[in-house]
Amino acid sequence: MTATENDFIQAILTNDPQGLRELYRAFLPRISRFIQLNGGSADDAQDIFQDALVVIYKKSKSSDFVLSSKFYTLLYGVCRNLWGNQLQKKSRTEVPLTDDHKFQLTTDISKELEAAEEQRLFWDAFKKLGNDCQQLLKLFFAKQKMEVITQKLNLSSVGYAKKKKFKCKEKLVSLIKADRRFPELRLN
Amino acid sequence: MEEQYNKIEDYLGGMLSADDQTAFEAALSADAELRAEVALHRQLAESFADPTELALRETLEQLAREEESTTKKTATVRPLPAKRGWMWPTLALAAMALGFYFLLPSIMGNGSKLPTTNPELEAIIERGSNPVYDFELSANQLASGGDAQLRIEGELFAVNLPADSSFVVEVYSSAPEDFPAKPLYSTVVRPVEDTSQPPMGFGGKKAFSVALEAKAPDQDGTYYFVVRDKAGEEIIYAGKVKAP
Repeated sequence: MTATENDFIQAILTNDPQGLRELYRAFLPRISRFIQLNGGSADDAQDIFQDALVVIYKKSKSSDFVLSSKFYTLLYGVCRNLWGNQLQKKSRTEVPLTDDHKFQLTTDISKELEAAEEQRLFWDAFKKLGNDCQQLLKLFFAKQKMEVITQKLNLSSVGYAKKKKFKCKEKLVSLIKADRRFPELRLN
Repeated sequence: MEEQYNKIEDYLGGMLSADDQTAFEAALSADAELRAEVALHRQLAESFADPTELALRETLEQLAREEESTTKKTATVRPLPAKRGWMWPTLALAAMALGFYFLLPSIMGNGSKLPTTNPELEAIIERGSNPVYDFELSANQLASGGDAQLRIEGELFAVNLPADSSFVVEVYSSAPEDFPAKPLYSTVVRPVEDTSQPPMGFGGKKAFSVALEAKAPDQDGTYYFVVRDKAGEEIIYAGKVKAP
């Protein structure tokens, strides 16, 4: 692999805005065209592109990951699978992709793909929360102690922080449950 | 509810005493609803456990917005084969997002950052309009004579609207304690059918114009306007304006 190919993986792993911007410029138009030729909108393409990069992030985080193809081949394969799954769910009538439904990938990402839909729903709900709830829940889910959260966010007391945490999480849960995709989610 | 959340979190975190755990597991095996709730909490905790992953999502959101501002202006809507009827809501959403994108500068004034916001109202704005009564309103401030006026106007798209329909419009400051108990003012508005616009492609919705004026708030800041149903209960739409 050339250095550039692995640079894309590095940009994802280190959350490097400049590298990620290059990645968007280089690949989003192609992915977007693919999605739009297969019954999706530009917004669908944005979501799929983001979800695919998160899938790749999760996969490349594990120590046994080796980029065994061109980066674009991996990205395209993940996008294709994600969009294929969504088409299957969205449409009662068959809207097949132009050729095979599941693009063959040399890297096994089935586990990450499965989680992607649920994570998209969770993330869409999370985005709707106010900034203060987002900050608080991020710390909470990162397993920070309530005392630490209280201090970091400059809250009046631990009791208040706990109350607020509950309110924010309740809001998040209700947004998730109100989502039309929620009934199709298989939680276990 | 709060107690249940704490219990579930303690259970998932392995923080329950042996007795409590046994009792909770017994409750779990008897109660499918509780099992579903625990599963949701577990998945949430797993999904959001990695701060780097969330930071990556946030960077990607930011980049998507950058891309949008360069590509959406030239975006075209392609006709779709009729059998893909499920696409329409997506297209409608895209069109609304596009509309909002162009409206945004006029509401917020050169995209400058707002000093304070009310997260609860922000979430309602984010949620978008009610699908039955689809409002697209913007507000701006007019200086007329001595008193500045706040003008809220725009369109309501609906399939049908009874002749004497009215909605309640309230204006709030950005102070979280003001919403929903203390609107700065509240008024009734009656949409008028706008016959200059043909029914829209999706769902045959008709356009109604909405316009009202109110005294502009004295203090500078962000103000929210909220449209409720006639009874003043359900929130149908919310928007914001920066004054002056």
